[in-house]
Amino acid sequence: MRRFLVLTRSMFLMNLRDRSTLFWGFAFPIGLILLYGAIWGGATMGGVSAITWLMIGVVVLNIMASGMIGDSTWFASARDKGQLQRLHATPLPPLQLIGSYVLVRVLIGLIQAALICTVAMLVYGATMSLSGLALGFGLAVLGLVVFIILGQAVGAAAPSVRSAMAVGQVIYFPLMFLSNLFLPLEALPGWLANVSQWTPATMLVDLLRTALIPQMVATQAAWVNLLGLGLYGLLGLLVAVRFFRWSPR
Amino acid sequence: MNAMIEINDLYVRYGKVNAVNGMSLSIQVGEVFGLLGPNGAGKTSTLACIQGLVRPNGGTVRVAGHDVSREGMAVKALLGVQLQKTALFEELNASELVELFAAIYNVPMSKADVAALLAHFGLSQKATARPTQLSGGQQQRLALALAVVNNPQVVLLDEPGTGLDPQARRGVWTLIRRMQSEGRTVVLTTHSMEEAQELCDRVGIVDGGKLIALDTPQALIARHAPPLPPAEAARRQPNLEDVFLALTGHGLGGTHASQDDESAWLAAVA
Repeated sequence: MRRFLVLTRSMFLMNLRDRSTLFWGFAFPIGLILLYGAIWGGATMGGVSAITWLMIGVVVLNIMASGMIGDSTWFASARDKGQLQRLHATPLPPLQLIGSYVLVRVLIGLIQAALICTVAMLVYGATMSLSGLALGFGLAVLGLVVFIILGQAVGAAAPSVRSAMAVGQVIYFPLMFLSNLFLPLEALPGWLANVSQWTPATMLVDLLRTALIPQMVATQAAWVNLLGLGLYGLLGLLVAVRFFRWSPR
Repeated sequence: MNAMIEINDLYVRYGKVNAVNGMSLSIQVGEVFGLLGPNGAGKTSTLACIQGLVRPNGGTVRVAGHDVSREGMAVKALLGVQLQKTALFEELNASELVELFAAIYNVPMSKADVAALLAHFGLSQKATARPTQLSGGQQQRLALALAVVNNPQVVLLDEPGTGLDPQARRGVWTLIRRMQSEGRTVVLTTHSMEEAQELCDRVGIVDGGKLIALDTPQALIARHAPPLPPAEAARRQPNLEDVFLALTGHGLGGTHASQDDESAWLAAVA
């Protein structure tokens, strides 16, 4: 147990001392919510205040960025630098390494989500249903885990950290605009909106908005979204396990 | 003497390349054993098999009686390891790295124990420094400190002197001799004949994945080194490089030294 705790603390420190995590995980989403609030603070979207709608969108955007950009490169980078092989040379059980990593990334993701919501609520008066908080928490954890797995799949399959970063960005940037996060699906052409509703980020934001904003109507049934996220997670897990390597090629 | 490591008919293949080609050898308790050969000779692959990092295509490796393929975790707990790349997490400082590796080996270590270990490796002034703030020699010493954090019976060092300037390299050699005096078995790979000659009780010369000679450095030189031309004999003694050249027909290749000021620490160690 002590091994797991020290490993988790070390992973936590590594994340908090990493400049890209600090910028992309904390400064960027907070800046984004402040910018959106300044532009659309008084408007309404989907029958609710725009900032409330956007707040959940930025939380999911951050979860997606954490997975597709952060997680896809962390293991690939540690692998390319020989750090994973150094750990592999110790009697550390791989499941403890993975468990510690996932725990730290989920914790950081939840802290980031809480910060985004706090800023949106305090600065622009965004609201959320307190009765939906427990469900929202569970869904956020599910979303974080699914995107961590998808990030690992990209990082494992990519031959180098550079290619992992490139593939992660190629997936992340289109999804950012096509997943109902800050650009409503209604604004997209019909065929594109039909495709977009099947992205993991669309499914997660749909679940979170209906859990945290009582007036919101889901774009598709919750069980479809949950099943979709589960399938993405399973597919990512299969790819990550199939291509995982301790050392660079 | 008892064998600490027994390698029997070891084969390692990467695609069509035979990295290790039927190697057998036995390494005794408490000796410093060197695998000497040029880059690509199969030294690191042999070491990786002992560490359990590479699964051999054939043959067996036993450490302290444990089969590495079947009892990998038990073997890893007995070993101290320094890889060719120092591979330290850049976001953690020296103390935090020692604490992390101690925890990984389930070794309880107080702050005082961590400080004592760092002092033992000449790093007491660098306890809060991150790896990127350390010189090449200091990084290598930190890697060696991490290699003995579990008080291992066997320490495996992959090219410990490579990339260091002569002073830093001598500092690392001092630490390796100290490891032996503490009763550990040390296995190192090197392509520096000077390092092998200075440190090793016995040397295995490896080329093309095969062990082509095995003995003490003095015995290898006496048996295989050709007579030097008179002009050269006046300047130097025959060495392991001459042995290697005589056995394989080609040289060992050079090392690349970097500038690194280690004089203060060396003086303290001396």
